[in-house]
Amino acid sequence: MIFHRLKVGFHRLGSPPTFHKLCRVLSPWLWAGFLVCAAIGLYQALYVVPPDYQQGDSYRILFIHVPAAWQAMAGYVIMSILAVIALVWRIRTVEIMTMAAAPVGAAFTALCLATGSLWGKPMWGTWWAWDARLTSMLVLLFIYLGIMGLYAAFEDRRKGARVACILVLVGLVNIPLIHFSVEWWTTLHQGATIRLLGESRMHPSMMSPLIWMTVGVKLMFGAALLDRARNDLIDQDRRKNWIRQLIGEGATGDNA
Amino acid sequence: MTPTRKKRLAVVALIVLGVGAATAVAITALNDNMLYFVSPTDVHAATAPQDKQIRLGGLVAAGSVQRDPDSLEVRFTVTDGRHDVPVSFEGILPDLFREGQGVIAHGYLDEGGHFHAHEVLARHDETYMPPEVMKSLEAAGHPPEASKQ
Amino acid sequence: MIPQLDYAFYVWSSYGLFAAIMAWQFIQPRVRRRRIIAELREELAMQTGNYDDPDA
Repeated sequence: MIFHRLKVGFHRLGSPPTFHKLCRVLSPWLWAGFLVCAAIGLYQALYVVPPDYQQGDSYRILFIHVPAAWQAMAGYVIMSILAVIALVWRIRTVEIMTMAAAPVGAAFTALCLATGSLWGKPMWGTWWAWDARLTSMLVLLFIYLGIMGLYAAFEDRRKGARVACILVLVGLVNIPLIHFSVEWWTTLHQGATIRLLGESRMHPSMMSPLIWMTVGVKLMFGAALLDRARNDLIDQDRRKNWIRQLIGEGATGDNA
Repeated sequence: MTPTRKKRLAVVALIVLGVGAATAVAITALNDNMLYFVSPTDVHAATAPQDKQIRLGGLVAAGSVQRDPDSLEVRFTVTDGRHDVPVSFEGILPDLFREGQGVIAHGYLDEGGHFHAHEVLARHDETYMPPEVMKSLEAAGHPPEASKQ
Repeated sequence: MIPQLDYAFYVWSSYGLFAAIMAWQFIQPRVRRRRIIAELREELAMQTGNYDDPDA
């Protein structure tokens, strides 16, 4: 019964007007959630948590850098799941969502690389090193940009999305590479602090802002993805009746 | 699931597995090139190339740092607990550089086994804790490793 | 408030970058949507014939 309802909901998401409405309703809530989490997280990260015994206050960059890195990778996994659904079921709204994930993921990857650089200079003594962790993260940025470029290169949006979805799956191999790079090879970058299995190497008094920021950027990723997907849908369906009706009703204006 | 979708799913699975297998083969072949630095033990075992630029990674041995009072020259020993390599460097060291700290020196090894570095980077570990916690740990006689590798 | 001022530049730059990228992700889709809707409104008005020139 529940499975049946899920299935019906899933199919209704394939309907452009329903999907558009979902984006419109969900996005402000996700943005609001992000703002609340980020406000708490940033305040704690800058003013509440103690400095680190070794790195002093510069380790506070971690509360931006690590959530950005996790989101860059988690975003890619989400995009890959969407790509599989898009390729197998050929649902247009899912194709659009997959493609909308790439620019947001690219933004988080760029943020991770830039803050890593700003952290590396004072601590390691260099802005950049070609070690396995940093290089694989740079490759992730290029994969994201490649997906965006490939999608944009096709006149036929649906064909472009399908070809780009294949590139999404090809690039998926880089995600475990990023994760395990610090274990498989010697790197300038240190090993994982927060571990799914086993004890974390961060003192509990420093954990709270990391959790707030991580949850916050997850909500933001969803919000930005839906915003972009909605634009793509309106753009693709500009000649369709349901869009004309929306505009006629004035339901699209600034709050559209 | 319709037969068409099953077929598409199989193709998707094949792409992921194929790319994964190809990458696994490639990185196994390139494994040594993926290493950012080698340890003093590697240097002693002569697996590290001589007269070629390499990166040497390890801990700065306690009591080994000697600074030249007239210049920026500094000498220290890099150790991994089993073997030591003497290193000389002239320049500005990163703030984190200290005895017991993980460092990576970029340079070459001469015939006498002496390492001439033109760049020294600090490596820190993945442990984060407040200074007071560190102090109480030290007082209790359980300081965490200053840095791994 | 941050005691170790030597590092403040790197820390504040990172937080500034975070704010800038988040703001950009918020603003860019909204600007684009506004543009698309404006285009569509114009097209629709032309076709239905009741084109009110907003500047008139």
